[in-house]
Amino acid sequence: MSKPKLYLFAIGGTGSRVLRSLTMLLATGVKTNTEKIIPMIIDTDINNGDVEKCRNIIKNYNEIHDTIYNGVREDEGQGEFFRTKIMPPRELNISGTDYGTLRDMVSYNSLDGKGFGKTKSLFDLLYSDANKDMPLEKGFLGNPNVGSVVLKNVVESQVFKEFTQDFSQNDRIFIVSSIFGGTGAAGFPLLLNVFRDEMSKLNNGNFLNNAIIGGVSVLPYFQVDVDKFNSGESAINSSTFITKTKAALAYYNRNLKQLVNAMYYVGDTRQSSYENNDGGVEQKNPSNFIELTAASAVLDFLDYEKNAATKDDLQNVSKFFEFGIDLDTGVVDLNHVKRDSLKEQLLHFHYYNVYVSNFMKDALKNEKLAWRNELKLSSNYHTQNFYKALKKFTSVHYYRWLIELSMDQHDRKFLPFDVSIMINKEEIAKDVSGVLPVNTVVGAKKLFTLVTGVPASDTSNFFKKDSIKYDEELSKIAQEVVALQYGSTERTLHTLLNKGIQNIIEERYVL
Amino acid sequence: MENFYFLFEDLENWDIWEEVGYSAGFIILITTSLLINLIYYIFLGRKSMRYSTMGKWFLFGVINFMLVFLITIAVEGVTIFNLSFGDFFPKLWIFTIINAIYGFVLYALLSIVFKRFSIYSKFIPVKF
Repeated sequence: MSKPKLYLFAIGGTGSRVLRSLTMLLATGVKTNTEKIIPMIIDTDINNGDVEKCRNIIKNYNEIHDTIYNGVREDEGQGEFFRTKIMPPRELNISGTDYGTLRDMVSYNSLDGKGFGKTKSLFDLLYSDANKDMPLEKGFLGNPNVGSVVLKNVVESQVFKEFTQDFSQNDRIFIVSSIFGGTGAAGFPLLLNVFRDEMSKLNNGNFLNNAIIGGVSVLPYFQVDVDKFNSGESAINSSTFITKTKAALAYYNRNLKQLVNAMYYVGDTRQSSYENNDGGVEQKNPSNFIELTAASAVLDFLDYEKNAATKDDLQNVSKFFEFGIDLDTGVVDLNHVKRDSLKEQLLHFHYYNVYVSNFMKDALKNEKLAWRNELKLSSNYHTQNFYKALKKFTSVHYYRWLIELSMDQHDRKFLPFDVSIMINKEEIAKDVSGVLPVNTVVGAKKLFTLVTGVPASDTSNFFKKDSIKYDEELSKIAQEVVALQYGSTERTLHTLLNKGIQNIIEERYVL
Repeated sequence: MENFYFLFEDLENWDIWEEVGYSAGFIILITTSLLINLIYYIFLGRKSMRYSTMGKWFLFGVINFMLVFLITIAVEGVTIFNLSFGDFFPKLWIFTIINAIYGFVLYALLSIVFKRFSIYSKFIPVKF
């Protein structure tokens, strides 16, 4: 049986941020039981900064993936960086600007005239005037009751129809949403009901009805500045997050638990503090450890009952998972990560990025360097697109992601690696555009202390100074890698980097 | 052998030069240059990248030059011409300098052969 495709619905701002962390995890080379991941972004706030960041990172990821793995068999290169294919996100974005307000959208003022007087009364019962007059261009601002009406239009969209046409028998669906906001809380139940509706007239409706569906529901993990809500500058009030969560969980328990096959819950009592921006380009919340755990739920779901093609093949109709850490600490590092494969991949990927950002350019310019000559790289390789894409992913996306995860505004930071090598953190924190590259300085000694709390083994003594030599390791294995005859310079270079970094980590770390 | 040392024209002790002098110098030249190439490309060049630069390669050429010079003057002076310490035999000095220069040239030529057996210095001094 071929591997399934995963249709990943990322709803709202949290959905996009989880997708961003997932892309980073996939870049580390974690093995996934999927042919490809097809992100489906649902957000009415089309200018949302988090969505834009997500688009950019996936675009850069794909530039690298496609250059390396174009024409490569699915089972080859498993575990290598950037191995899993992520398709460019399909955006089911119904622009709130087109609808104006909920009142406009349902033609409220003409309901009486059309003979829908009772409907109008019911509408009045369910929606306050504030709900009815809320502009929809920035999402549902914590009002899932509004979202549940507006998002129904997603199902009518062309992109959704294309998705149903492409859906095959053993494909899986995963839905990422927050439970305490507006868009996510409204979108998750709506999608589940659509997929499981046996009377539905969707294309491939039978496949969709029987598909294995998973979801991660992100419980409150941040709070926003309440003053802005009180002064009317923002419509987001984080003091209602818990109440909304309780209500939504009760609803899920009553109505959804039989519809979803694997449900993950993640949340945190230690909360981050964000600026209160109710959507738009300004909404660029920093990456958060909880989003990373939600992203790891996606990987877990792909491994969940691997051999099951439909929900009827599952041993349990529904299973519920929670994420936990052993120690309630404010700083989470690699030692707290239980999944060994993930820990190793993160470590490998970090050393890879340090090489790309700080040493690779000099290596590519060194005409006498053995590995560079074994691979017959041109003298201007450092100016070519592939190297530029690698460098961009490292300095614009990866390091920024690490900086964001370790920001002081998180009461629980994820600090797997020493971020002191990143010298323009303040500038990065202020950069709303998200395109400013992170500058790093890494000396020979620093290479031993890149991992928080886990120094690399150092055999230095009075007579001998030990050092971590990337180019020496790469040169040592270059001939062997070239002999694999991949037929593509980029694939060969990428394999060389993967194997070389792996050897360095095996020599220096015991995890 | 005197053809190989065409840069050197001796008028004294011709027999000795012809019988042993040239051959001894040539053997010293070959052995030392082979040894230095062996050390540079096989021993060090497969062990560490530390020496894989043009500067280090040149340094080993200079070491070869000096070794050839020292061994030639010692062996030729003491063993072949039975000179005692302090004697000045200008022809021997000229021969030794020429042998040392040949040493550097031979080191460079042998590098082309030996470099392929190295890992880290495979593209030193030239890329092909």
